[in-house]
Amino acid sequence: MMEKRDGLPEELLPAIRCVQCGKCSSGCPVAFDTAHTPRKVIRLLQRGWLEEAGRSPFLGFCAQCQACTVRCPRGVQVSEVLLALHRLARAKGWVRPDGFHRSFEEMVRQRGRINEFRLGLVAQAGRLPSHPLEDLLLLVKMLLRGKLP
Amino acid sequence: MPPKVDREKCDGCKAQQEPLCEQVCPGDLMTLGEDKKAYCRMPRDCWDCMSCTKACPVGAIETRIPYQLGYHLAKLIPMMGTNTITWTCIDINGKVERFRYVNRGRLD
Amino acid sequence: METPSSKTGLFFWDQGGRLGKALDLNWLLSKLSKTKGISCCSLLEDPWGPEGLSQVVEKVKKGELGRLLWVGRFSREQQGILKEKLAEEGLNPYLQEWCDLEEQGVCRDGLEQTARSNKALLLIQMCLARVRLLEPLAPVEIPASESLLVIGAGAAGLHAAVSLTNLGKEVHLVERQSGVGGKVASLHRFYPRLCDPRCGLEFSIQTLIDSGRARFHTLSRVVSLEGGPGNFQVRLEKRPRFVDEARCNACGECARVCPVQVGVSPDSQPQGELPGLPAAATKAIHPSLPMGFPMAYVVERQHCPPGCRECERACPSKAVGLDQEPREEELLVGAVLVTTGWDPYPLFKVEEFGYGLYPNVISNLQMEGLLGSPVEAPKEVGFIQCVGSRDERHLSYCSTVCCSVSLKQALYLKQRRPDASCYVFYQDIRSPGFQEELYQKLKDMEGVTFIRGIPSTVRPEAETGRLRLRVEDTLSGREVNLALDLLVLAGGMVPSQGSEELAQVLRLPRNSLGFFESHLQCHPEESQRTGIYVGGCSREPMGVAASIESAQHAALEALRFTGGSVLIDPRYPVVDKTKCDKCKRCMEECPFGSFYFDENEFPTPHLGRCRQCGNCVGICPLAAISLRNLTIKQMAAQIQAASASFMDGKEPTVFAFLCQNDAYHAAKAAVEEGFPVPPNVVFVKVPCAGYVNNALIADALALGIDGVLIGGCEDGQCHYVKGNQLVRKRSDDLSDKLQKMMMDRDRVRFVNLEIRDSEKYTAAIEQFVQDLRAMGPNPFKI
Repeated sequence: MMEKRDGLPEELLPAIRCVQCGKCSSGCPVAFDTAHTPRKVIRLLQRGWLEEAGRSPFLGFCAQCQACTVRCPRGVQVSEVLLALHRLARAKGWVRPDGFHRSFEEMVRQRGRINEFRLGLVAQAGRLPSHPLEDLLLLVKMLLRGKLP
Repeated sequence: MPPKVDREKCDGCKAQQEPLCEQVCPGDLMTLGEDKKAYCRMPRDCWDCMSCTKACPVGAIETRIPYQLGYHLAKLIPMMGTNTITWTCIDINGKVERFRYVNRGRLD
Repeated sequence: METPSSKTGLFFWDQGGRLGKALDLNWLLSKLSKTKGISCCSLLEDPWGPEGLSQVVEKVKKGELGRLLWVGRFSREQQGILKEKLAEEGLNPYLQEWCDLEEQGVCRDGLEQTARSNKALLLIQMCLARVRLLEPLAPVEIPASESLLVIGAGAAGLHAAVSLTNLGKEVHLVERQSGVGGKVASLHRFYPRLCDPRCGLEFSIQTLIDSGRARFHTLSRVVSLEGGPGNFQVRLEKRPRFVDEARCNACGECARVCPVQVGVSPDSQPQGELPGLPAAATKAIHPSLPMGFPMAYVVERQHCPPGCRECERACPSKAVGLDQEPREEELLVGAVLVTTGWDPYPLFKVEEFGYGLYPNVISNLQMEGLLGSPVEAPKEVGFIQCVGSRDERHLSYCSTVCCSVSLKQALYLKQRRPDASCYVFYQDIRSPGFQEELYQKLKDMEGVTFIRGIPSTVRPEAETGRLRLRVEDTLSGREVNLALDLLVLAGGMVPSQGSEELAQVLRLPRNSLGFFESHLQCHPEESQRTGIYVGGCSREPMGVAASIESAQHAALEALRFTGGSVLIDPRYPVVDKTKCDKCKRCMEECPFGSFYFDENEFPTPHLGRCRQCGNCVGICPLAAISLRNLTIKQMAAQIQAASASFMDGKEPTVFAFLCQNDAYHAAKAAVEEGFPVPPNVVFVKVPCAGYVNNALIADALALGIDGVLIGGCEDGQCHYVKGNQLVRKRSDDLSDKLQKMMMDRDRVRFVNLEIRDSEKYTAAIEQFVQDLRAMGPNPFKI
C-alpha cells in the first residue's frame, strides 16, 4: 500500500518505498561520473525535496538502461521514476536543455530523423570549436579516407 | 420461469458433489456446471416450487414468476428464519406485499 | 441426563439500590411472578451474607426449583461461587443464567421510568426464554495417550523432547534424515556464547537415551494422521537403513571395503562443494548424518554397484542387510509437535551474485563448514547481507539471524587469520538484544569494514579468479572498488522442504510465506489444528536459542493433551442429524478443521479438535448445528422475546449480536463510562461474531425488529481466524436479498469493534438508530 504524500506527484510515489540499500547506484553504469547517484535522487524525493531532486545533474546522465530497476529489492521502478522526474523538471524549468538538445529535439519534431551534419552546424553555431586546428586536420584526414560524402 | 442463478454469488456449495439446490429440487433439475456453478438443466420442466431459492445458503438463486401470473418484473422472494418464513411479493407495477409465517417445524 | 424440572426461580439482587432507583421493581416482580413457569420470584437482600442464600438453597434442595435466573450485577467470580454452591445441592451449573440489566444500560439511558421498566421486563423475558430451554451439561472425558510425537529432530525437536521426557512423557522423534541434529549440527559455532553447537546436542541426546522414554525414528516420514488431540493415530513410513541398528556399533569396517566414493551425499546438508575444501568424502555406506547418531551406518543403495555385497561380508557383527524393505509403523500419540525447521534459500535464484557459477561465491551455511575445516582461510572476504531477504522478488521477510551469523563468521575469520580483511555489505545491521555486543566488537576491530550499500553484481577476474565488485558506500556517497578472494552470501531461511507435504498430511494451514500458521501473539505455538503445535523455524525464522525456547513452549502447551484423559468443556457443537443434509459446508469452513464423517457420513465435530467458537452454527445453511449451551433454538427464543417493542411506537429497535471477546466488552464499558448509548438497543453476546446464522437475522427482521447489528473483531484480529469475515460475507448476502425484497439493505450492519472501542460502539449505535429512523419502520412490523 502506498499512501499519498504531500507534494509528491503520483508517478514519483514509488520512491517512498526505497530502503536506500544502494544497489541501484552500485550497478549504475553512469552514476560515478557525477556526485549524484540514483539512490540520492530517490532519497531527495523521499524527503519531499522535489526541486533539489529535479535539479540533480544525474537526470541528464541517466541512460535508461534499467539496471537499477532490475536489481531493486523493493520493486521500485527506479528508471521510470527518474524519467518522470526529468519530465517534471523540464516542465517546471529546473532543467534547461542546452543548444544541442534543443536542436536535436526540434529536428526530430520537424523531420522525424536527424541530419548529423546539420545538427553539428546548428548546435555549434555561434561557438568556436575548442580545437579548431586539430579539427581542421581531422577534416582533411577524413576527406582523404572517404569518410565524408 | 426457471430459477436464475447469480453466478457471482454461487459458490457451488464449495464444490461439493451435490449442492443444496440439487438436493432439494423435486424434479432433479438443478446441477453443477463445469465451472462448479449451479444451473437449471431443463428450464421447461421447472414448476417454480422455489425449493432451491429457499435452500440456497448464499442467496444466489432468484425465481421469476411465470408470465401467466405476472409479467417479468414480478418477483417472489422468500427469506428463511429459524422458525419464520417471510415472502415478499413484488408485482409488475412495483407494488410490494409482504407475508410472514411462523412455522414451528424447522427447529423442533 | 434426564430433563430437569422446568420450575424456574428468579432472584433479584439489587446491589446498592441502583436498580430500585431506576426501575419500578415491585411492578417488575409482580409482573414476572405471574409469568408461566416461574415458581419463585423474589428480591434477595444480601446473597453473600451467612443466611443470604438459604432461601434459594432450601428450594433447590427440595427440588422445588429446576433452573435459576439471577437478575442483577454478578461478577464472573460471584457467578462461579453460585455455580459451585448450588452444584453441591445438586443443581447443574449449566441450568443457571445471569441477566445483567445494568450492562444493557437500563439504569442509565434517557428513558422515563415506565419505559425503563418495560425494557427491563423485556430483557428478563429474553433471558427467561433461554432459561426455559437450558439443558444440564457435564464435561466429557476423552482418553489421552501418554506419548507425544515430535516431527523433526533438530535442535528444537531434541530440546523439546528432553523437556517432555523429563516430565515422564514418552516421546517419538521422527526424522527424515539418517541421523538427528538437523541444521544446527552443521554449524561451526553459535552465538551468543560462541560455543560448538554439538555440545548441547550431545547433551540432549544423552539425556534422551538415559530417560529410556525417547524413541528415534530416523529415515522416516509421517504419511497419515487420523483422530484428534489426545488420540492421534500416526502412520510412519520408514525407509530402509540396510543396517540393523541393534547390531551395528559403527566400527567402520564396512566403509573401508566399500568401493563407492560418493562426493556429497544427498542425505547430508545441502552444501555443495566448497572452495579449496576436500570434497566431503563419504562412501556409499557411511555413519548417520549429520552427527553420527543413531550410532549405526546407513547405506545409500542408489549408489551401490549391481551385485556388490562387500559391506555385508565385511561386517563383523552381521548388521548389514542389503535386502531390507521400507516399513510402516503405527503410533498412538496425544499431541504432535512440529519442529521441521528451515532450509537455506536457494541462492542461485539471486542471479546477480553468481552463486553456483563462481566457486568462490558461497553461502553462509557453507562458510560454517569452511570455518570448521582445517583449510587455510582466505585473506579478503566480503559478506553480502540480505541476499534474497527483504526483497520483493525473493523473500519479503527478514530471517533475523543472518546479520549475527556474518558478524560471528567475520570474528572467527579474524581469529583464524589475523591479517584477513572483512567487508560487510549491509542495508541495516540487525543485532537485537545482546548480539549488539558482537556488532560493536567487530566495528572496532581492525580489518573489518562495514559498508552500507549492497553491490549490484560481481565479476571474477579472468586470470586470478578473484571477485571484482563495485559498490556505493551510501553513507559517504563514494564509490568503492574491491577485489575479494571469497564472497559469503548471507541467505535467508525458508521452511524446510518437507513442510509442504507435512502440511497436507497434517492438514495444517500455512501462511503465504510457507510457514505454518499460528496466532503469533497470544498463542504463538498453537497451530490452527488443535493438538498440533509448531515450534522453531517451521513457524517463523529465528535463531537457535529462540527456536529451542519456542519448541519447549510448544511442548508445554502439548502436555495438555497427554496424561490419561482430557476434560472437554461441554459447550461443544452438536449436529442435528435429522436435519443435516451433509452439504459439508461446516467441514469446509470450520477454521480449525474439526469436523469428520461419522459412520453414517454425517459431519461430526471432533471434541478434542473443536475450540467451541460456534462458527459452524453460523455456517450451517439449515441451522442444524448448535452449541450445547447456546443452541440455535435458545437464541431464536431470545430473539422472539426481544421482538416485542419496548420503545415508543415510532422509535426503531436494534438487536445486536456482540462477539464476547471484544465487542461485548466495548458495549459494557460504553455504559459504565457513561457514553450516551441510545436506549433503542438490546444485545446478546455470542462466542464469536461467526456464530450468527443468517436464519437468526432473518428471524429478527421477520419479527419486526428494525435493525440487526453484528459487532465483530477487526479484520485479521479474530480469535478464531476468520469468524468475522465469514459472518460478514453471509450478512452481505442477506443485505443483497433485502435489497431485492425492496427493503433497506442497511438494516443489517456489521461493525468492527475492538475491546476498548466504547466510543466507536456508541457512535455506531447512534448512527444506526438515526438511519433507521430515516428508513422508517420495518415493513414486517405488525
